[in-house]
Amino acid sequence: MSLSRPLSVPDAVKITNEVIASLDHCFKIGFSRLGADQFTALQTLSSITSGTPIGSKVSDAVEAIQRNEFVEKHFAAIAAARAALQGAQYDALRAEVASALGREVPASKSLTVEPIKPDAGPLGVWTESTRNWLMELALAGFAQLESQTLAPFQATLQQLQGEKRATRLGAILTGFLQELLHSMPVSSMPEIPVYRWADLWTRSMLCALRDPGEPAKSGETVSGTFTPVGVDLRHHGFFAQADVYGLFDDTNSVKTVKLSVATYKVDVIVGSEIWRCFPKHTDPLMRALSQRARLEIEDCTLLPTGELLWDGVVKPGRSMKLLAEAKEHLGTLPSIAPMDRHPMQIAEIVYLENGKFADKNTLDFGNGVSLPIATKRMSAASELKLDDVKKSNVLVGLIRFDGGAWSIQPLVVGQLGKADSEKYTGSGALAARDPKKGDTLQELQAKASKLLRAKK
Amino acid sequence: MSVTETAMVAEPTPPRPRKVKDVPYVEFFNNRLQGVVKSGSDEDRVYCAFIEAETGAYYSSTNNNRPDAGMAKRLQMLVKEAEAQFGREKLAVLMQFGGGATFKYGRQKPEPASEVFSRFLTYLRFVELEVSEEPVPEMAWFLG
Repeated sequence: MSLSRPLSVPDAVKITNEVIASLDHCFKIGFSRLGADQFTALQTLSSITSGTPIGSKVSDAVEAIQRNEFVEKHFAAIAAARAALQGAQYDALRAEVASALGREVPASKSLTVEPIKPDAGPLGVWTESTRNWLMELALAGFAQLESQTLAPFQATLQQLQGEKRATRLGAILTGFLQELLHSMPVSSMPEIPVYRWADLWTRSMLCALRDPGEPAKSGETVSGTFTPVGVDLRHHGFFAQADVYGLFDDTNSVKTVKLSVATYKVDVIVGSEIWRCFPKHTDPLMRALSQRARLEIEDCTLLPTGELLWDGVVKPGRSMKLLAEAKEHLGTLPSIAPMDRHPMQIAEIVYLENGKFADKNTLDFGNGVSLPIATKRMSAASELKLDDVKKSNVLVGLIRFDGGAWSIQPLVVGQLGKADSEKYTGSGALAARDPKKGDTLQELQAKASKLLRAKK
Repeated sequence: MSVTETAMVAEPTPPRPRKVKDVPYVEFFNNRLQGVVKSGSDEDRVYCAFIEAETGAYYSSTNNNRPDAGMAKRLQMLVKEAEAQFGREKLAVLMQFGGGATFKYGRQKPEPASEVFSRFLTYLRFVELEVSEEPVPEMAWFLG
């Protein structure tokens, strides 16, 4: 596989960025104090979505906001419209990268609009409380945020963190709120990350609208062999997720899939100690990652998005040759769930040979094709360092898109024809899981069992 | 705003991994730096301490609200660990003391220790929380 040409940014993506930037001014200023420019931006949003399934909801929302009628459902409509624009950007970018790689463009599923079915139990109350708080943020505006607007939401958030079904919502809100609290006073910031915060706001709102158990229902139950190829470890202070990209062989065909494992953690746990936080049952995965081995999977759910869920039996399998496997079998993942589409979700996994390390941390693949290395995405906790990339001439990585530009995030690097020259993310996972005397997690677990139990 | 607007921000790297043995808990919440500091003499006793941003108002007491005889020492330990957790520069911005200072005494402000202590218990809960099998695509925004 190779890149046949340089990756470009479709014009439609650039134009859409401008629409989003104008809309985001509303979030910065606050929806309770909009001026003429912001109303124009909202009108634009209304006309763009007109005729689509969300059209009438968006135009209702825009009219209501202009009348200073602030109702939660209108903010949900604004979130849906903003996400729809980014969904279209995702599709265009995905098509661009597929075409340059000579891959088939994954079919995007059409989005259906369904009425929200609120959870009848306490979860329904907490998600409603979340949407209300998000509306308050939008009304106040990012530039006017104060600790007093943020701190009271902790009570709702604690409930969500304790509800397993609300993991997605809990994970993003915990990261978002922590980031906002640590940005106080907002006036001290050289620049407010408006686009990012509007993204986190939009994603939180959509998460607070969805039915938590829904995706698993759409999957099929599968058994076979999973070969982990590369892992992308993502984390904020209080949550970590390892996205393991790999191959799934059900003896009929080999598919490219992704298996994610996640855990809550505390902010004081950093670096390789994060691997300690993942639950005990993920041991076989950590062993497979570190020792380049396969996993035998029984009765797990495979979603149409290519995501493999750890809801069945996972056992250690035999060892394998990492780069050879990737070279032979690595393909593309299906499109992600319609509502999740966003340029940040572009993670096109590729096996590329003969990339030369060039100026400004760029990999040059010849024929005028080069990609900057996504150094920002290389976690401090990662075993793979920039120096390893320099010394290599073959890699498995994720083609990414952010800030209007393409980049490559290396997951595995090595030297062609040299066995065991591979350096890869997750290689230290197993060793890092061994408890060390007095390590942070142990100290805190000991305190937790003493104090939390004592209180009850 | 321009197309270069990015959805990612690089996380600041803390100057050193923090040890939790003496100061198990440090946070900046609701406009104050607060945390839990272990007693030097009694293995089972902890103090809840805080310093307000801007005013520098402070206090330290046991979780049963008995005043702390070694308040100054406890507050210094808290600040030292906060510098390790957030970085000196970031902490100075959060505390708003001016001139890059991360520590300033205001007046003593006796307040119940329960708020800090219950925040600490909530924090400890994180090491035991369970998660669903469903992937969290939103983690794409958090680079770690």
